[in-house]
This record gives sequence, structure tokens and C-alpha cells, in this order.
Amino acid sequence: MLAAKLNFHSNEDSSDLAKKKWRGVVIALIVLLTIVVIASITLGRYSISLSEIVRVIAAKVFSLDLHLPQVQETVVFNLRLRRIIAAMLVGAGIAVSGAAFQGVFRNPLVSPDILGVAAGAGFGAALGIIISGNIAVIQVLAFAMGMVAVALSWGIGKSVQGDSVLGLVLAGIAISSLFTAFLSLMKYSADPYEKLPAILFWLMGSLNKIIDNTLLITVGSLIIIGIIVLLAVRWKINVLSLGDEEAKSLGVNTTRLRTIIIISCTIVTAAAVSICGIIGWVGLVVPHMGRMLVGPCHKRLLPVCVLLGAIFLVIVDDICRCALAAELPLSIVTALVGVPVFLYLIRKRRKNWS
Amino acid sequence: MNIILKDATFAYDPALGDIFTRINMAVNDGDSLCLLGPNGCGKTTLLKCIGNLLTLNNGSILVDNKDIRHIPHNEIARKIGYVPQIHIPTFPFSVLEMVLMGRSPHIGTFSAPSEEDIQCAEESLHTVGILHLKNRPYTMISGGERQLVMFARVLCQKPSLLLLDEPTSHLDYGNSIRFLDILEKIVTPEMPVIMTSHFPDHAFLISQKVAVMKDGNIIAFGSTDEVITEENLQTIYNIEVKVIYLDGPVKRKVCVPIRKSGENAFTLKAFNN
Repeated sequence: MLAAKLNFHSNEDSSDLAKKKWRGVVIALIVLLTIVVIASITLGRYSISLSEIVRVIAAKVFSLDLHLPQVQETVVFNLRLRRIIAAMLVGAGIAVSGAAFQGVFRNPLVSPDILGVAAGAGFGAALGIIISGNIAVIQVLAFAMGMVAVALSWGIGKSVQGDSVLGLVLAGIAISSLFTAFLSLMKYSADPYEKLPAILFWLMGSLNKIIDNTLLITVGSLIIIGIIVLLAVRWKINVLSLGDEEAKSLGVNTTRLRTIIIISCTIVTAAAVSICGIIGWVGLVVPHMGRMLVGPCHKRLLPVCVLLGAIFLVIVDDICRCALAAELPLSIVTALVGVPVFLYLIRKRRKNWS
Repeated sequence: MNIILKDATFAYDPALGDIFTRINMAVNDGDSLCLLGPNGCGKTTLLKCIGNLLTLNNGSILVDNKDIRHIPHNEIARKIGYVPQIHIPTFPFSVLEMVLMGRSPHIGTFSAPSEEDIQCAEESLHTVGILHLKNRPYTMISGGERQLVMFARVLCQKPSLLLLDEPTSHLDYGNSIRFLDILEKIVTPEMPVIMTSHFPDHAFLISQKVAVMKDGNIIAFGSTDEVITEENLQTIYNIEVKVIYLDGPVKRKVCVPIRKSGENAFTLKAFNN
């Protein structure tokens, strides 16, 4: 046994290679994210050069007075940077929630919407638009209704099927349909000239609703807390993905761990959806891209999903902002970009999720 | 470790009747036990109850005189290692990642395996002789290799009792014998085993004690020599079996089913049709 032990140490084997590969991927993604963020600040209708951006940021950070035009500062900070940060947070949060949910539900085709968070938030937002139209009311109602929908799915799933994943999924499908019906009722009864288009635009999703820094900080901290919790339990998601019985035999308190994950994912997704509407595909496609890069182990997968999700949504939002004269809704572009990527992935490599 | 079952009763759905009823049994420290019985007699269910994967409807299971329901999951998993019948997971984890999960009861909810855990997993793979497979996806190895991976996983869990559910059910003849060889080396009074099996021969190979289940009851319990008798095998399986001591290199009892030539011919004829 001792000889074998020595052998393990001296031999630089392929598990070390896998670790090195993972580090390489993470570093490459960090570099890519940096490039994408910088490029995104320069993109937009108001042309601003790289050196001007550096000066604007330096002036702000070091409180220098460089006699720069006020409009440049507004464009960089209030229009572009705030939006880019929001895109990174939302993309990272939804991608990592998707990966965690796919592990918990033992199904690579699950997205973070499975327990009804999107349908609930959609209804909440529509309700907010009809009763007030105030953006804060809309966002709070969207967040709250997203949480309510998941809480209902969870409660019903638990009481109907014991503590099982199948019960949760069935309850999630039912609750999603219920809230979709409520949403349809809202649309049907909305004033067709003013409220109905507002509801439709909200549902298509956009990052232009992040109107001030307080909102970004509030929602951003919710998303960041959720991501941190998910990253902390990420190795145990491997064990949970083997199924309840096996996870229990390996000492996992499955009910508690699943509760932690569902609550974190729901807070992240509800927060994201409440500020930018419904975004499909990110939670489904990005985890698959991650698995292609670093394999299925959630310990490596989740950090990669954080970075990939951020990059993906920043790029998607750039397309939304710049492709046409008018801004495109997010959900259209995520699908236009996500569907081809997804089809390519399932053709190229079945084995990583079959 | 002592395991005591007191009036243990279990039903998946009480309306459909009990799987087993009022079972009383004690497995002493260091003893290995083989659970025999026909299909559907409740062996696997009983094993899952001992591993605390299922909860009794009535009665109790005491682990070292403590009710199993009052022991946290991870504490049980540090004492009792359960090896399920193999199935393929959703995600193609590597063999090493699968084995590492055996360290789970020793790793906190918010932690990940350390270098020592990885080393422990590699040692377990080495013990069962499949270290060379460690980077292969678990989904793409043979059934026999999967069984060995599950076994390596329970070894690095470092329990003081093994629970094996029909460990040779997915193995061909050669692999099941090789597996039993490894098992024989690993099972000691420090790490005894409770296993279900369809082969009474396994009891002679591995265990000191045998329990026979039929229709949800224990119909025989005792030392292997006392329980595995020709009469008992007839009662359990409804077939005639000869229990013979084989001398020479074998030096243990074996079970040989007897079939009359006429019956054989009949079976063959039926088969050909």
C-alpha cells in the first residue's frame, strides 16, 4: 500500500491534467469576460473610444478632474456599465441555477423555470403593470409572485408525493400552467392600447429596466448571495444527482440539501426575472456548454457556468442594443443565439448528458 | 457493531400489506450475515431499513443500542456502508469522481474533497484492482467494472459494516467469483458484511450467520452450517438440493441442485418447442 501511495504522488497522472485543464478554462474565460466587457462599453450609438473610456473611469475612480464631457460619464456609467454589470449578474445567476437544477432533478433538460418561477414572475409583473405601472411595484410583485409560485410547487409536491423529485416536477408543471392562465387573464382584461403592449414587452425581456444603482445593488446582492450558496454546496450536488436513496446512503440529508438549492436558485432566478423579464435558454444552454468544456462534475461545472453565463448574456445584450436601430427584446436574441448553439451541442456530443 | 431488530415491521403502503412483519434478529459485533430467500420475500427492503434508507412502520432497529431514527444521516453513513444494486447515473461522472463520493459522509455540506480524500479514493480503486480505470466515464465501463467501482466507493467510505444488495447479480460467472474473492479478503470482524443473495453457496464463502426469509418472516436464523441444510433449501426454494463437503483445494461445503433425468428431458423438450 505504501508503494502504491508513493506512486500516486510521483506520478503526474491525468486527474491532475483534468485539474490543469479546468484551471486553464477558468483563466481563459476570465480573460474573455474582461475583453467582452471592455468591448461592450465601447459599443453603442454614442461613439466613445477606448482611451476615452479609460479616462472617464480613471476620473471617477480617483476623483480626478480631467474636464471630460458630462455626456461621456453618463454614457459609460449610467447607460453602459450599469447594464453590463446587470447582464453579467443575471447571466451568471441563471446559468448557475440551471446547472444546479439539472443536477437536483437529475435531468439535463431542466431549466430554472421548472418550478414555475418564470410563470409566477410574469403574472406578478402583469398585475403590477395593470394596477399601477410604477416600475418598483412591477419588480417587487414579479419577484414576490415568482417566489410564491415556487413555494406552492414545493408545498404541493411534498404533500402529494412525499419527498420526491417526481412530485416536485409534476407540481411545478401544474403551478406553471396555473400562473400562465392567470397571466392570460391579466392580458385579456388589460387595456389594449396602453397596458397590453407594456405587458407584452415586459414578458419579452430587456435589460433597459435597470434604472438606478440602488435597484442594481439590491437585486445584485440577492443574486450574488444565491450564487455563493450554490457554489458552496456544489460538490454535494454530484452526490444528490445519484438519486435520493444513494445520496442518503452516502450520508446526505437530501431534504435539507435540496431545500437549500431550491431556495437559492429561486431567489436568484426571481431576482433576475424581476428586473429584466423572462429570459429563456440561458439556464439550459450554458450548463451544456460548460459540460462540454470541463465535464459533468459540479465542482468544476458551476464556477465555469458563472463565467460562461456572464459572457453569454453580455454578448446577447450587445446584440440587443446594437443590431438594429431599435432595441431588440432579450428573449428573442437568447433564442436566436441559444437554439443553434444547443442544436450544435446535442449533435456534437451526446455522451455528456445522455 | 451490534444491530438489533425489535418487532421490525415495514410496508410501502399499509393497505397492500406488510413487506415483512415483526422481525426480531440480532447481529453481533464482528459477525457477517447472509440473507437468503426467494424473490420478493423482502430481503432488499430489510437491508434498506438496516441502512436507514427506509423507515420502519413499527418496531425499531438499534445500532449499538441507539435507535437508528435518532442518528443523523452522515453519522450512519460513517458506520454503515450501503452498496445498492447498480444503475447508471444521469451524468457521466468519471470513475474517480464516483468513488470520491464515498467520502461524502466525512465532508461537510459546504466543503469539497481534499487531497487526502482523493488519495483515499485512489487507494480504494487500487485495492479492488481498477485504478487504471479512474478517468474513464462510469457510464462507459462494463457491468462488472461498475460493481467494482461501487465497491471501491464503499471502501473509501470507511464504514464498520457493509450492506451489499445481491452484489453478484450483474456479474458473469468469472467476475462474480473474482468479486467474491475480493470480498472475502475485505470482510473481517472489523468490517463485517450483511448481504442479500440468491446463492446459498455465498453463505459458505463469506458469512458466519445466515437468515432465511420467506413471505416477510425470518424462518431460520443461525450459523451457516445449521441453517444451510438440504431440508431448509427444499422449504425455501421448492427444489431438491444436495449439500456436500468438497475436500481437496476447495475445503468447504457446496450446494448442488438435483434433477432427475426424466425431468431434465422434459425441460429440454419444452425449451426446444
